[in-house]
Amino acid sequence: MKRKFVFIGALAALSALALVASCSSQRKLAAIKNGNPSASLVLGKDVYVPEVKQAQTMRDTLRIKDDEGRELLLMKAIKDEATGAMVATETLDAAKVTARFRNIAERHGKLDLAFSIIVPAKMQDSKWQLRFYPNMYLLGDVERLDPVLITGNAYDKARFKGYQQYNRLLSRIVSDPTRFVNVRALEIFLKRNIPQVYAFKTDSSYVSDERFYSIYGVSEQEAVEHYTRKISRSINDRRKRKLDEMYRKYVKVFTDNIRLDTVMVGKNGDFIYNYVQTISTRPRLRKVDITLSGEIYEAGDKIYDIPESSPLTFYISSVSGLADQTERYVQKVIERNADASTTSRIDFRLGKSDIDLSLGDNRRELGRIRKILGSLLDNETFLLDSIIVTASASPDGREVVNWRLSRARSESISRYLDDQIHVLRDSLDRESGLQFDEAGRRIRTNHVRIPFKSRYNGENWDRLDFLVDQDDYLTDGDKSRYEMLRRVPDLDSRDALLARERFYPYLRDELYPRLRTVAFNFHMHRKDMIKDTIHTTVLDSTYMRGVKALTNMDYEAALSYLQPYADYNTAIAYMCLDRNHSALDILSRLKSTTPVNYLKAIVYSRLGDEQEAVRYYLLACRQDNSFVHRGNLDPEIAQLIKTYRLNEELSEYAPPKP
Amino acid sequence: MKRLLLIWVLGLILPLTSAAQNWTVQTNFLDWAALGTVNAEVGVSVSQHFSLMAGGRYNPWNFHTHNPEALVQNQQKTAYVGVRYWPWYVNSGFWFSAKAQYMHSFSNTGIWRAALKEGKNGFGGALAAGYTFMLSKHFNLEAGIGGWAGVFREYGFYSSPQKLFVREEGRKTFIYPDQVSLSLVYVF
Repeated sequence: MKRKFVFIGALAALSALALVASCSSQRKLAAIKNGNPSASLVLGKDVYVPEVKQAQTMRDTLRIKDDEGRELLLMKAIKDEATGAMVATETLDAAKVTARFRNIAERHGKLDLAFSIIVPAKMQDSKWQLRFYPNMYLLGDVERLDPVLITGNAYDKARFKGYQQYNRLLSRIVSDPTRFVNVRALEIFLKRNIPQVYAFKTDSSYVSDERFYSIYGVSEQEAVEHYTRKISRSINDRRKRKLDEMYRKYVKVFTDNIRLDTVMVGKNGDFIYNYVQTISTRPRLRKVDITLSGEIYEAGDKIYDIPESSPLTFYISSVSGLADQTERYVQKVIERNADASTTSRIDFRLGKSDIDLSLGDNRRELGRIRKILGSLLDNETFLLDSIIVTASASPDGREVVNWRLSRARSESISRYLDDQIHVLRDSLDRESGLQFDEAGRRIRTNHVRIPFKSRYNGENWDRLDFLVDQDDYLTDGDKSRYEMLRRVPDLDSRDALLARERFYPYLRDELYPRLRTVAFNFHMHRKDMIKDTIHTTVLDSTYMRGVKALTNMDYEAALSYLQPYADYNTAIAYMCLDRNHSALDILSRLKSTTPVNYLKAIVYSRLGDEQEAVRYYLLACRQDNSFVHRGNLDPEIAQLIKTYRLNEELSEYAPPKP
Repeated sequence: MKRLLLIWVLGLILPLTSAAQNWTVQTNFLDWAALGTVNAEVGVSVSQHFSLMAGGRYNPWNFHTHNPEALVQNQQKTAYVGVRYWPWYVNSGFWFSAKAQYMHSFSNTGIWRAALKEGKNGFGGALAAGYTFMLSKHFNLEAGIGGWAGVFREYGFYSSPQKLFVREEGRKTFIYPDQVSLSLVYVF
C-alpha cells in the first residue's frame, strides 16, 4: 500500500514538473509573440572596414506631442492574460544604438556580407528548436540564405528517438531485389526447362548476349519474374516509397542546407552567431538588404512564425565608383556614297525572257527584291541613284543565244522593277498624305527617275567552277575531268563535250539552274551631302558602353570595350578584375592626377608595396582632401590607415566636420 | 483388365522413346496407403500450359482381421485419361485437371464397420486441382484433391461382407471424392 502511495506521489510530482515546464514554455511563447524577447540582427565586426554608425534608437518608450502641444510618454505594454489590463513589459531592454547599414567593399567580383544573429537566452527553450532564416534582398530578388538552427536539449533527445525508429524501419527494407527471388525453384526450373542458361552459371569464360528460351518459348527473364515473391517485393517497395514520409514523421529534421545546427545544453546565455555570406556581385548591384525571419518548433511541429525583422542594409562600394564618366568623342569620316547588293535566282522558261511569277520561287524572290527597293526608297539617310541589274545564263545551249537571252532577261527584270518603283512611290506618297499649296492646289512630289542599267554576263562559267569545286556529290575523278574540259576555249564545244560525260545530268539538273541568277546593285548617296567625305566629331559609343558596363560592375564586358583605349577607365576595369600589373602599367603612363594617385595607392597596396601605397595615398589626400574619407571604404587603404595610423597624419588634410 | 494392362505398358514404354522433359510418370502414396492400391500415371506435356495424362489403379488384395469372417478390402480396377492445365508451366506450380474415368469394378469394406460396397462398369468424369513442388531436376512432389461423378451399371451396398442385408442394389449415379493424392513424380 505504501509503495503504491510512493508511486502515485512520484507520478504526481512528474506531472507537476511537466506542467511547470509546459507552462514555462507557453509563457515564453506568449512573451515572444508580444515581441519581447526577439532575435535581432546586427552588423558583424569586420577587421577592414570601420563601422559607419547612424544613430537609430530602439526605444521602449516614445515621446509624442498631442494636438494641444502636450507631451505624452508612451510605454511599451502588453495585455495581462489574467486581468485583461495593459501592463508594462516585465523587462525593458536598454535602448541600443545600432547601425542598420554599412558600406562594404566589393573585391574580385565578391562581397562578404557579415552580420550577427543574436538570440536572447529568454527566447531559448529546451523543448524548442529555433530556426532562423536570413533573407537577402538584391536587385528585387529575395534569396533565403542557409538557416541557423538552435536546438534545445529535450528537443534533440526526442529527435534522436525518432532517428532510432527510422533506423529500425530502414533495417527492414531490403535493398537487393534478388532477395525476393525463390532461387531454389528458379534453379530447378532452369535446369529442367532452359538448361543452356544454367550452363553459363558454371562457365564464366564465355559471356553471351543471346537470350535462351524453353521449348515453349519462356525466357529466363520470365522465369525470374515468375519465381519472384511479388507480395514481399510490393510490401518492400511500399516501404521504400514511404521512406521519405516516415523520415519526416520520425526524424522531423531540417533537410535543406543548414549553416549551423547547434544543440544548447543548459543555460548558455544569449546566443550569438557571426554569419558571413559571400556573394558574387552582379551588374547594377548597389545595395543588399538582409532581414531575419524564423520559426519555433516543438516536438517536430511548428508552433510559431517569428516575423521578419527590419533590414540591415549593405551599400556596395567598388573601385568602379571612381570611373571617369566624362563623355568621349571621336573624329569620324562619313562617305557620301554607299552601295547595297543582293543576288536573286529568277527562273525563266526555256528560251524565254518574260517574267512568269508562277514559275518556281519567282513570286517570293521578286517580292523580296520589291521589299528591299521599298526600304531603300523610304530611307531617310540615303537617296537611291541607280540600280544595276546583271543577269547570267547557264552553259546549256548555244553561246550566242545565251548572250542574247541573258541580255533580254536583264532588260525584262529592269522593266518589271521600274514599274514596281512607280507603284511603291505612289503608296509612299499616299502614306505621307496629300499636300496642298497656299492656293489650294495639290503639290505633287517630283521624283527623280532612277536609271536601271541592264548588264549581262552570258554563260556563268566562273560560278560553275566554284559550284563544282564545292560539290560533295561529284567524285574527284568527275572534278578532274571537268577541269580538263573546262580548258576547251570554245564554249559551245565545251558544253557539248561535257554533255557526253556521265555526270552531265547532275550538272544540268542540279548546278545549271543555280547559274541562272540575277544580281542587283543599288547605288546610293547621303541626302544633302555634296562633298564625297566629311570629317565630324561623334560620341564614342563603344567607349561609353565600356564606361556604362564599368559602373554597372560588368567588368568583363567593360574591359572588352575599353581595352584598346588603355586609359584611366581601362585601368579601373583591370583593377576590378584583379589584373593589377596591367592596371599599374597604364596608370604609370597617365598624368599624375588625384584619382590616378589614389588608384596607384590601391594597386601598390594589393601588390604588397606598402611604402609606395602610403606615399600615393597621402599624395592623393594632399591633392584632394575628400580622399581622406574615401580611404576608409577601400579595404586596401583602410588597412594601411590602421597599420600606420595614418589618421593622425591625415587629420590636417581632412575637411572640417560639420 | 486388358485395357488397363495396355495403358500400363504404354506408360512404361513411351517415355523411353521420346524427348526429355515432355514425359512424366508418377505414383500416389495415398493410394498405396489405402490397402496397397497399385497405381501409376503417365503424363506428356503438349504446350507450356497443357499436358495429357493416362493412369490406372489396381487393388486385388483381401485382408483378414482377427475375426476370420470379417474381410477388409479396397479392391478396384480403374483407368482414366485426361488433361491438365498448368497456369505457369507444365510440371510446376498449380494445376487443374479434367479426366474421363472408367472403373471396371470395385469392392470395399469398412474397417471398423461391417459393410460392403461393390460396383461394376462405372463411367464418369473427374475434376481435380493441386500444386506441384519441384524437388529436383527430375523429381516433383504433387498434392491434389478432386472428385468424380458418373454412373455404375451394377451397384450394391450391403450391411456385411457376406451380403446378408441389402441396403441398395442396381444401377447408381454418384458423386464421389476421387483424387486425394500425394504423389511422387519422375520428370524425364
